[in-house]
Amino acid sequence: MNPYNLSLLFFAFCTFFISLLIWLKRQDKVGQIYFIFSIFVTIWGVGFSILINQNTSYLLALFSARVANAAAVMIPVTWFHFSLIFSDRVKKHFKLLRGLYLLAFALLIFSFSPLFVPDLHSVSSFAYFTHPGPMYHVFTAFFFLVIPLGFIQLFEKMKTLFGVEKYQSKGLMVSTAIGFMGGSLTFLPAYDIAFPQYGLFFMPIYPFAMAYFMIKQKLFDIEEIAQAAHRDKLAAIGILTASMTHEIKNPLYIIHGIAESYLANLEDGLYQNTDEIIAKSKMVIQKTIDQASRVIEIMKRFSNFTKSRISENALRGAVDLNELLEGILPLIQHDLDINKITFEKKVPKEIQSFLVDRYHMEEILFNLIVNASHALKDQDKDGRDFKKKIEVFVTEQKNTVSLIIQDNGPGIAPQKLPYIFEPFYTTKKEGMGLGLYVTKKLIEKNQGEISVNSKLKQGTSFFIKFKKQL
Amino acid sequence: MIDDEAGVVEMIQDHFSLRGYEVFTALDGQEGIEVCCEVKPDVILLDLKMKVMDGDKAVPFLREIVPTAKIFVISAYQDEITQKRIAGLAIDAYFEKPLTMLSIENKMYCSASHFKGSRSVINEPV
Repeated sequence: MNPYNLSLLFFAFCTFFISLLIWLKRQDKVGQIYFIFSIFVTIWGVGFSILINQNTSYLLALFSARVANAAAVMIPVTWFHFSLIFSDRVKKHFKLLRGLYLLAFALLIFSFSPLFVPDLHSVSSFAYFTHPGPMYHVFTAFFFLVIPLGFIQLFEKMKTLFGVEKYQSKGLMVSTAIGFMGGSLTFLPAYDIAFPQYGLFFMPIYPFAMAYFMIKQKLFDIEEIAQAAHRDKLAAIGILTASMTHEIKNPLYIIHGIAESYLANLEDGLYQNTDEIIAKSKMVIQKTIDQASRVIEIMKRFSNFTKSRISENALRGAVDLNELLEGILPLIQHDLDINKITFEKKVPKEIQSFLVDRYHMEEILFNLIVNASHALKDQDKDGRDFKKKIEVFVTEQKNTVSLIIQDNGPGIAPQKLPYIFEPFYTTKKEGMGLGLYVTKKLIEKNQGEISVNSKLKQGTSFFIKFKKQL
Repeated sequence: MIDDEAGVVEMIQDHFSLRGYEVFTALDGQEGIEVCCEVKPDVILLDLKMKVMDGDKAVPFLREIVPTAKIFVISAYQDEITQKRIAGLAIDAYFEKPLTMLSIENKMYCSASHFKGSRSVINEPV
C-alpha cells in the first residue's frame, strides 16, 4: 500500500456510497444515472489502485489496468448522460447521446484486447502502468471530448438558475471538476510523461464536496422541490377557497334568511290565514331546495378540480374547451372580481377534437389565467385608468389547435423571458415560481408546446399548440 | 335594496314588505341610482360588488340624490382591497355577509342611532 492507493480506494468507496445515498434519497432518474456513473468511477478507482500498488504481480496489474480502463470507457458517456438528465435536455441531444453510447460500447469490446492495453510499463515511481495500444488513443480523445460536453450542458443549465439552485449547481460542477482533474492527470504517465500524480490526493475531495453540497446546500434534494410545489398548491388552494367561500355564501345567506324571516313572520302573526302559511312554507322549502342544489353544484365543481390536481399521467381524450373554460371560471371569479379584471373567451364551437387530458387542461388554463390575473393585480397603482383584461382565444390550423392566453398587464422584461418556465423562477410575491414550470410540464405530457410573447407595458401572451387528432 | 343577486333582493323585499316597509329594488348600481332619484328612500342597502356599477362607485351619486338617506353597504368580500375601497366612502355602516335577517334589522337601528343619535331614520311602517 502507498498513499496513492489509499487515496484512490478512499475516493472509490466514498464515491460509491455517496451516490447510493443520493439515489436512495431522490428515487428518480437523476439519482439513478448519477449512481450508474459513480459505479464506473468506483470500478476505475479500485482497478487503478490495484494497478499502482507496488506489491501487485504483473498479471494482476495487467488485469486491473484492463478492468479500470473498461470502466473508464463508460465514465464520459454516463457523465454526459447525467448532465443531460440533470439539465433536462435528453430529448434535445438524444441522437448524440445514442452515438456516444455506441462508441463507448465499441471501445468496451476492445478494452480487454491487446489493441487497448497491450502490456504494462514502468513510469517514475510506478512499477506498472498502462501502456497504450491504438484503441487507447481513441479512448483518450473520447474522454477529453465528452467530459467537457457534459460540463457545457451543466453550465448552460446553471445560467438559467437563480439563488440557491444556482449555488447548488455551481457546487456540483466544482466538485466533479476536482474529481475529473485528478483522473485526467493519470493519462499522462501512460504517455510516458512523468507528471507527479499528486492530483490523486485531491480526488477524495470530490465525494466530500458532493456530500457537503448534498447535506448542507440540499443539492439533489427533491424534498426541497416537493415542499415548494406544496407551497404553490397551497397558494392555488387559497384562490379556490376564496372563490368557493364567496360562491357558497350567497345561497346559504338566502336559505338562512328566508327560513328566519318565515319563522319571525309566523311568530309575529304576520300571515293572514292557514292558506298563506302553507303557501309561504312551500315557497321557503322550494327556495331552500333551489339554493341547496346551487351549493351542491358549486361543491361538485370544486371537488372535481381538486381531484384533477392528483392525476399524474396524461389520460388523453377529446375535450370541449368552451365547457372546460366555463367550469374553471367560477373557480377564479373571485380573484378576477376583486382585482376588477374582465375575462373574455373566443372559442369557436366547431373546433375539431384534439386529444388532451381533461384535468391537465383544466390545470393548465387555471394556472395561466391566475398567472395573468396576478400580473394585472397592481396595474392601476400608477394611476392609469384602463380596463384590465384577460382573453382566451382558440384557433384552428390544418394540423394543430392553438390556445392563446393574453393579458394587458405590465409585460415581462426581455431579459427575464427566457427563464419564466424554469422552476423556482418568479417575479411575483405569490407562490414559489413553479406555476409556469408545472404548466409547461403538463403541456408536454399532452404532446403540446408552449411559447410566450411579451412586451413591457403592453402585456403578455402565452401560445399553446396541440396536435389535432387526424 | 340594491344587489345583483336576485334571491337576496327578493328575500329582503319579502321580509321587510310584510313588516310594513315600502321596499324598492334594483339589480345594479346604475338602476339603483335611477330608482333612488324617483323614490328618495330613507335607507339604502347596497351591495358592494355588482356587474354594472359597483356599490362604491354608486355611493357619491346616491349621496347627492338623497343626502339624508342612511347608506348601508353589504359585501361578501372581507379582503384588504375591499376594506380599502370601503374606507374612503361616505357611508353610514358596512356589513359583512352573511347577515341574518334579524341582524340586518338590528344593525340598521343600531347604526342609525349611532350616527344620528336617533332611531327615527327608518320610516314608521306605512
